[in-house]
Amino acid sequence: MKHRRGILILSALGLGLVAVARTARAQTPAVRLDSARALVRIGEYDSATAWLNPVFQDPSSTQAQRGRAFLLSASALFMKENLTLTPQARSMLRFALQADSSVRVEPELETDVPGIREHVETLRRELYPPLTARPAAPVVEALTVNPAMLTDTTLPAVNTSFPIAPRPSRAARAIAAVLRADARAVEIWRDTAEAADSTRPLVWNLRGRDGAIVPEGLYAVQVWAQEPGTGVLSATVERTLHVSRLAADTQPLPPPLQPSAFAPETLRLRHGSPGAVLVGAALGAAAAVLPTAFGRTELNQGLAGDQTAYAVAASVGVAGLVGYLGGHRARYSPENVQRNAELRRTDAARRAAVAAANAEARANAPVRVRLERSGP
Amino acid sequence: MRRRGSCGSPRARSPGRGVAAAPRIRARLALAIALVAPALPGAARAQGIGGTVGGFNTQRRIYYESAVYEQTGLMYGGAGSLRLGPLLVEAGTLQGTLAGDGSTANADTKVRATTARAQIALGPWARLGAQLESRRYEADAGPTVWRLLGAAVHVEPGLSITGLRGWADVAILPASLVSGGPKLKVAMQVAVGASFSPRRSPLNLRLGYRFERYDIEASGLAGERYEQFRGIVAEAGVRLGR
Repeated sequence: MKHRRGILILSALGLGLVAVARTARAQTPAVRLDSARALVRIGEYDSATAWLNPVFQDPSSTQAQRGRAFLLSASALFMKENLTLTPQARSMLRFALQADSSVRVEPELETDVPGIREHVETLRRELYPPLTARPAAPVVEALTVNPAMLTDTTLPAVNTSFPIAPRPSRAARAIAAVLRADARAVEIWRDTAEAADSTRPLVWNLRGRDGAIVPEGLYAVQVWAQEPGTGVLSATVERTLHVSRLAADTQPLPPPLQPSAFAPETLRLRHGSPGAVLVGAALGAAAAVLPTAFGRTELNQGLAGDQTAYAVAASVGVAGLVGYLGGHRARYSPENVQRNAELRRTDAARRAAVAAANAEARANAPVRVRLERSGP
Repeated sequence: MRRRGSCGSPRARSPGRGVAAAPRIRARLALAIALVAPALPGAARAQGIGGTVGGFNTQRRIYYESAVYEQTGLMYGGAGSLRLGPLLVEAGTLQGTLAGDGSTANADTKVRATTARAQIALGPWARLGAQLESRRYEADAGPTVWRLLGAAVHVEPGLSITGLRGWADVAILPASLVSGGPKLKVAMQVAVGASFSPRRSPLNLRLGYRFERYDIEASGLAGERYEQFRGIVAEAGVRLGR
């Protein structure tokens, strides 16, 4: 019995240790770095920053892990501020390089955080200037722009803003313009950032000159810079954006009203018009009395009545009677006409409401903006 | 009351002029038909055409010089019609031999009536227009031609069943005369009856009673002469188009 109890106690202890180890593994700096990277990828920047904080306080964190944690924090801040490198983000990058001078921005991170690599490399050069660098005569570098923008994003239709960071190589007036890719003569939007603000992104609200969100299609974003003093222009860099609308949540139009939904506007009544009997009787009587009414006495005196006239008179009279008994007559029904008109009005109103709701849903459908390809 | 006399054939009183007038009437009818004929194909597509055959079981009675003569027989014939919107143009002929009593004064007479009628629709069941008729009598004594001209009215009220209608034709023909002879003081034709067109069929059947009265004024030595035609009318026809 004692032997069996010992085995049970040891098994419980083993399982507890495994659980503790798993818990400890879940909170290791490496795991937190991987999770924070994933959060940056899906745009959860605040969560990524919060998830990284324990890494800085964890004494088991290596310098490389701290450097990576600072880099990811800086990236999250950079994206949160619409591709703007705030002083806080810049400090984070500096801490990253101080913790690990070899910290690198891998291509996937550069895709998710466009422009962060350049800032990292700029700071690296400031902190760790090349030992072989010798003082040389100042070289005037060509003015260039390296625009950055989100590669694939979905934006709401209201208060839409799509940041475009011109990123001139030095302080200069930066200009960005959007044209229709298939009609370059049509400029849809243009904005300018003065030299002092050239590090800040320009924001396109995805609307054309008419104030409406641009239709689906390809749009060329052209970015260039101009030096304020000399007027020197940079080369124009172009990017192509594909703008599309996500499917709107619409509802189908009600089916058209079936003829059976309407009440008959003309009622079909049994028996024809009593006028049929009168007409038949009148024509029959006319046939019967024609010879005596219109004939001359000299010709008809002493003659018996014309049997054929009577036969025709009877036939016509019977025809009138048959017409009355076997016929039908129509009666106009204003009540049904009114009911049908109301039915049509209600149906038209319902269809108009659905159409309006669908139009509104389409107008408010989110907009997807995707960077198609990079220009020179 | 019957009595032999020359009243059975008015041609006996004016042999030359009556015969000469008939070709003139026929020429006018031919001219009218020639004018209308070119428009027929298009009009037929746009409107409608019709045709009728039928018979008139005729009793003809003549009063002349205080005597009454009676002839009976079946007249048969046909008519064609063309509808151009509200205008209806109709032409037809009716002919037959009316048998008298075999005497010289009341000999058998061949009768041929050629009628043209143009009417305008006044509504869905009424038409008003003009009628021109040439009526030729041929007896042993020779031919006689009447020319009858006047107004004609046609009414055709419905009897509450689709295709079943009553009808009445009334023609008052004041501008009538015996060619080369006296005028007709009274000339009228009245017919009433009923018609039936089976549903979705162009067929049309008509049954009616027809009565005609003609009062011929005295001329020269001849006294006034009265005639009437009466009898049952049965017709069958087709109507195509609208």
